[in-house]
Amino acid sequence: MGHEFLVGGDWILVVLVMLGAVPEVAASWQFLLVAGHFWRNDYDVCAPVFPRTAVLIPAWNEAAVIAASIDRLMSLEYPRDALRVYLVDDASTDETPQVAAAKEAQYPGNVIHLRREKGGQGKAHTLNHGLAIILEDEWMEALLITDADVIFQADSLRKMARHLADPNVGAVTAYIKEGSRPGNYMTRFIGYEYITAQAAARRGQNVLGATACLAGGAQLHTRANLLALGGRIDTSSLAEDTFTTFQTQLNGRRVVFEPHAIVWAEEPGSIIGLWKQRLRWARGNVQVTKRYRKLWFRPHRGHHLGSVTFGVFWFCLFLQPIFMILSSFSLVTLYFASYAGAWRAFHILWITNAVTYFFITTFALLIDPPIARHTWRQGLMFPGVVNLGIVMYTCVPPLFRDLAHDAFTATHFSPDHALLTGGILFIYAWPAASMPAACLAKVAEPRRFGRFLSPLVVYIVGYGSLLCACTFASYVKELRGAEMKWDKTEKTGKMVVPT
Amino acid sequence: MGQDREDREDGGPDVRIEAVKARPAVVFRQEINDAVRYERGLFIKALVVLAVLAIMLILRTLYFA
Repeated sequence: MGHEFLVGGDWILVVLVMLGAVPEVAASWQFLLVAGHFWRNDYDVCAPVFPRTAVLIPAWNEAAVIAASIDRLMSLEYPRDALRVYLVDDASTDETPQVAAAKEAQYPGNVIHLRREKGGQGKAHTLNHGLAIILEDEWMEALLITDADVIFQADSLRKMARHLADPNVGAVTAYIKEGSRPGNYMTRFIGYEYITAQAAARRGQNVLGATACLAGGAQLHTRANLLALGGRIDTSSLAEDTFTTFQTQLNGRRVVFEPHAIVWAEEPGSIIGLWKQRLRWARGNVQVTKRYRKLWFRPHRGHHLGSVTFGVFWFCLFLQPIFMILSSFSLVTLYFASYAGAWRAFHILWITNAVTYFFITTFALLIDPPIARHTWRQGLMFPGVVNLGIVMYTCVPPLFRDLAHDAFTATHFSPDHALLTGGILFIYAWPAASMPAACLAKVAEPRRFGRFLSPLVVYIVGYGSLLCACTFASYVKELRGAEMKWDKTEKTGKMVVPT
Repeated sequence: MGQDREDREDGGPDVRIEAVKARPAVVFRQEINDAVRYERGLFIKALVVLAVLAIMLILRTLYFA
């Protein structure tokens, strides 16, 4: 960047502008670690072990999905005498108790129906009810915590269990895929997102030796690990999975992601459903960040949660909305301080974004080709039309200049200074402005024309911006000390899962 | 090592290493080999993507800057 454009404090603004690219660069680094999973994995210490496994399923009004889930569990490639399913019915008001009783009769000794007459306290309390009963005797050697709607592929538990042969491993998680078919635009966005957030990010975390979160729908613990956790799941937050994951590693045990153990889950098919789910997750992450505030960026011999790299990954995701706001605000400020400097900073920011977008998207689609065939359009459109337009402009500016010139000539339209200024400022402010714009999609969804308008808005502003808006909303909720409410994601049982 | 692990003396796994109705060892080995082969494939895919990206950056710098 030419020094003639910038003076004094302008450099600080440039640095703040570049903060906008930091989460994408960190994500690219995490994707690069995926390549290292070839060398740093846990397969050399695996063995064909089949610990006596209790499957713990918390259920509240899951009649539509629970029968299929239990049937799939009972057909796992796993010794039947080493498998028990404990269904904890959290005072369901639908047909769940009847379905559970029928399955208990169908699989005597393998399915146990536990009923809580007074429920509604949340998933962690429901899990603890079952956990207390399971731990009463010595039968259980490993515990699989899952959700009522999750469907396990036949070999998945076996592939997870093989990691428990390693004495250092305390818990194993699987690769959860979105299973709605044909699904809609939202489930496909989530399907693609799960390639990046699970298949890629968790492989990277395997390489790093620090795992952020065991998937709530597929976490296999050793008995010793559960006892070390106090024999119960944390109930003080909305992110009990993450607390369990952190505490397992702080206790000196490893958490492993097994990418070849596949389980399928039905994810929200609407923005409102997604918003509820992600707000809960994001609030949970705020709580984890606060709870472990003395952990971050403090390397420790016993675990890797305090490593700088893991801290960067965690905070880039956690603070992404802040980075976007700071970047946009600084770019707009720089525009008034140094027009040319702002233009250069804008180009560098967006060329960085373009490079990371190309790398992450292309590699993500190659990591899981079957899911990619179903979700590639959403993968390409993840940043939204506006951001993609900016990316394309910064990659090939002469092409866009020629197109604009031809368009203006053909229409005899000549934009005046005010229009150009407005356009430039709009583009500079867009990373921050895209978040409230994404909220429009949520507002529009239940209204008239919402079915058409809402997806359109998401495609324009980007699914990524929608997630950032959720994260920002979680800050606000936590700052306000809003009530911790367990909003259950509605399930319909419309999954088509490969046999 | 965490506090809970300091007390353990045997250093063995937390679960029985007992192959209950175990599949043949050769099948297990084959699955591990398949998994490692898949991971190696990802490494090669990453290299290919990075190479394409490098070519695109060079072309952009030379012709579209």
